[in-house]
Amino acid sequence: MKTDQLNSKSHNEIIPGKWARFVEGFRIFLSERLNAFSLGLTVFLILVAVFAPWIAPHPYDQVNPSYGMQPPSFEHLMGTDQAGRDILSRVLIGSRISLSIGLIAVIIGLFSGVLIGGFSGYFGGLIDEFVMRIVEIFMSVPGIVMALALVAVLGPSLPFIILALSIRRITQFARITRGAVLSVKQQDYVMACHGIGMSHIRIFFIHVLPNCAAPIIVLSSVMLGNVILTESTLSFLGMGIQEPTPSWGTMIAKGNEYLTFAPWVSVFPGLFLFLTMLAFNLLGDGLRDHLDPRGGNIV
Amino acid sequence: MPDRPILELRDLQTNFYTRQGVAKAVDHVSYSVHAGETLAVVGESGCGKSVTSLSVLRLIPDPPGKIVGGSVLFEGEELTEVSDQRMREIRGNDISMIFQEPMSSLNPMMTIGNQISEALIQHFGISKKAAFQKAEEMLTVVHIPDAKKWLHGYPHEMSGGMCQRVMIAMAICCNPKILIADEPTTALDVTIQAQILKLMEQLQQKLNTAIIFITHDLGIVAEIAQRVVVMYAGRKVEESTVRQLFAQPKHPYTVGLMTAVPRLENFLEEESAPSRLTEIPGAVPRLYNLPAGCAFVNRCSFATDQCRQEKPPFEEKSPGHWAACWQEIGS
Amino acid sequence: MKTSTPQEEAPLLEINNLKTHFPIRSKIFSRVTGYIYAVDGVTIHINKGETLGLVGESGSGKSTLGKSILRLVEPSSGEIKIQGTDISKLSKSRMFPFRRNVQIVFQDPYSSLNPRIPVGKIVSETMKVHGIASGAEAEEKVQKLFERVGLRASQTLNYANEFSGGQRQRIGIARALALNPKLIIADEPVSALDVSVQAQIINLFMDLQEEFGLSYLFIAHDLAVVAHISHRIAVMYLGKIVEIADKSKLFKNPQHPYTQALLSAIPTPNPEVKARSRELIEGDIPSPRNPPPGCRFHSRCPKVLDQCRVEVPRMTEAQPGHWVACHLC
Repeated sequence: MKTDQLNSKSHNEIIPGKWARFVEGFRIFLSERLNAFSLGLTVFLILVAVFAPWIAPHPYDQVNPSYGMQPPSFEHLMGTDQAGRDILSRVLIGSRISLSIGLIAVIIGLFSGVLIGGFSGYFGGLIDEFVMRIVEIFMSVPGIVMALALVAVLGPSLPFIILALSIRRITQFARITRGAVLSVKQQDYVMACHGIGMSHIRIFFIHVLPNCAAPIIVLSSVMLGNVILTESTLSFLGMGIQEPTPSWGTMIAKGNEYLTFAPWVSVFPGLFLFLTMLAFNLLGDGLRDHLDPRGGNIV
Repeated sequence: MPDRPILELRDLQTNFYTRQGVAKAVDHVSYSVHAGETLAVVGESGCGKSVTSLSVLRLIPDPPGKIVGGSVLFEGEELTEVSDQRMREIRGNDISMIFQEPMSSLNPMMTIGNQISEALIQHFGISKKAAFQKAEEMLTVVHIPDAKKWLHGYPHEMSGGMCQRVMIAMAICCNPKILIADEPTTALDVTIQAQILKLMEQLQQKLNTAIIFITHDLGIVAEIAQRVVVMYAGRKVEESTVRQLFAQPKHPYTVGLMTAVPRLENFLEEESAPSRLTEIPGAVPRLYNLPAGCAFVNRCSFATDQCRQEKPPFEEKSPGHWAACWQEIGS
Repeated sequence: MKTSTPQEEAPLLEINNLKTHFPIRSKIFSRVTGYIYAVDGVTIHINKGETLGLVGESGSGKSTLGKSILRLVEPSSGEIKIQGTDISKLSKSRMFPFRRNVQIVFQDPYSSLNPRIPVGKIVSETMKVHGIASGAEAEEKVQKLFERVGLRASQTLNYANEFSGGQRQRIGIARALALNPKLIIADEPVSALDVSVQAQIINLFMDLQEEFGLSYLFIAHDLAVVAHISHRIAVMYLGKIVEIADKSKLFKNPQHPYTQALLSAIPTPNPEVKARSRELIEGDIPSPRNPPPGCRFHSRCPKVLDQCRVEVPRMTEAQPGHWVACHLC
């Protein structure tokens, strides 16, 4: 051992650790201006959501009918709605609801989808046929229709909304993971594992799945934006988050009636929805380019 | 052989600007080729042999690549300065190229006939019917059986050897003056390789085309070329006729390449047990981090301090035989 | 064929009439519509400390044969005997102890190493799975192995994408050596490498053989490479061995027309012998999905007889230790 240590010291090279590699990869990622922008926007939106109760200038549910439909002013930066509630406060609190619903739905979709799709692709055969046919059935129904139907049957309460939103994500994650697993399991290093006689569980979790990470990470980012949009759509159609809990979708729907003379009621929540979508989609695109194996970067 | 070469490169320089630094992929490379002649450009991957020929056709992706100096004279015309329009006319018409991967060089969504006739229609402005007739003729020339049937076939229905024949048919259908073949047989089996080499030789005799044959295989060089250029790390290290090169290589890298390749003749004579090969130690250096002097210095058994500090000049060691080496090798 | 040289002990590896057929399934209902006859009745053996070269063009089934021996693809029938035990039908767990004896080195250095695990760990994991060593002991062994295959001990911490093709192939060899195997199946280990690096790897294989008394099944499409490293050479065409002999016998006196064609197709690095007349064979290798009846080579053979079109030639011993499957010999 001693000679080996000497040997490794005699070569004066620095072998970067995992963390240093990550930092270096991160630096390269940020060197692209658009990536820095989308990541900055994402972080900003998350911070806003986390600290919303402290930032919000007014209680989100403080009703003041005599003070309704006020245009943006110093007192109410984004104006007030028909009930005289401060729109800025409602948008901020709404971002909490939207982001957390999005996050939970994506995490549920991620874990179940990756496992289902991963095993299905890895073992192949009849199980794979069966699972993929089921996935295809789910995929053939438009996402919003399925979510609407589920909420209509189960009722528009938070857990059911999340369930309705995550079922489609499960199928999407399952498909993309299966595809990645199918190509990774053909690689010679997986063959080598079989050649050693390694167990399937070990091969799957240590050698196959980590190498499928790139498309899954990209999909997660894009899906986050997507779920938030679907949730807003549900709310817009009245099947999502119910008043008085603020939700961007509900706020846009309510403001719709007054669009001609009080546009601020729906424009500001719409703007936040747009920014969120933009941030997550750009981030997804940036990650896709960054994680492209030809770039050789390590996550 | 006419005195004036049909294509002449003078001190061509192509750089790649990467995150790690500037890579001089083509570093002052000069060579020329005459009509009816085959010039072999030899070297390992990363030596700049392909980039040189892509620079000739101005097909270097920019960025990161850029031609930064030197000239390329095609029949007296300066190719580094002509308009993009003129360059497109020259590509395919006067100079055409065959690539290593025949499968991925053909469009999988188009029939063979359409792909060949596309170039014909564009360059000669003939009708589609005439172009198809000519395409069938070309397929017969490159020995594809049932040429008529294959006009309506797709690349994925063909074997690698057949795809390469189609590529050759496409390359020669406009009667180019120069054919650049970039490792055209590397992806093929030996028996198919032999067929393709023979075909190229026949076509050259018929059309008097100049061929620039890029390869890493010295066996192929000996087989088909008259003159040879050896490249290493973006620089030309040796140039001579094929006979001279094999009789007496003047650069240690060439010597290394010749001895590192297992040769079949060696096994005909003796009852030979497995024997070690002469190896060139190390690997081709990264282009953005070359040694100060000779690029080969770290792998060379003849290296001296002079080699480490000064770039060796490219000089005539014996009549018609040039090399860039401070040492007198093989004399 | 077992008596090519008098043996005191059983051969290390003995393959009898091995067949690997891949079913072709239709899109609907996965009905089997035909087979790809990748390996179709191969009988070979490899002795201790010996290198058997296996040459053939792409589509000849040579790589499938190599993978079938390790059961990385499941053989359809036949025997694979490792030191006398037939492993072709053993269960995964019964097969496990035999895996130590036979290891594989792959062709593509870029896909044979997991890009997300430090290369040293790739090798030590192998030892761990087989309970040879773990922890610091394994680490030390891996460092020694790295130095043995021409890498630095400190490089065990690097990731695969930081190595050149030749270095990756060395790591692949270290992984194979980690279990102290008796036989290494080298599946075109140098064909993706540059000429100058090729020689280094071939030399490494030969040094390791001498040091550890290894046997190799060395698969390649390049006859010259195989010639260099092998003691005996088998020539494969469309799933069948057509000729097998000692290296010098095969080159001096090739019997099968296919071997002759392969030999004459190799470009000679000598411009003075350019003018020799070449015997080129026409056409491409037929699809293993639909191999020609009779002798599989008859569709391209310059010396084809009527008999060749209908009757499958048997392996016969043309000379002592020189076996060939051809009606002409």
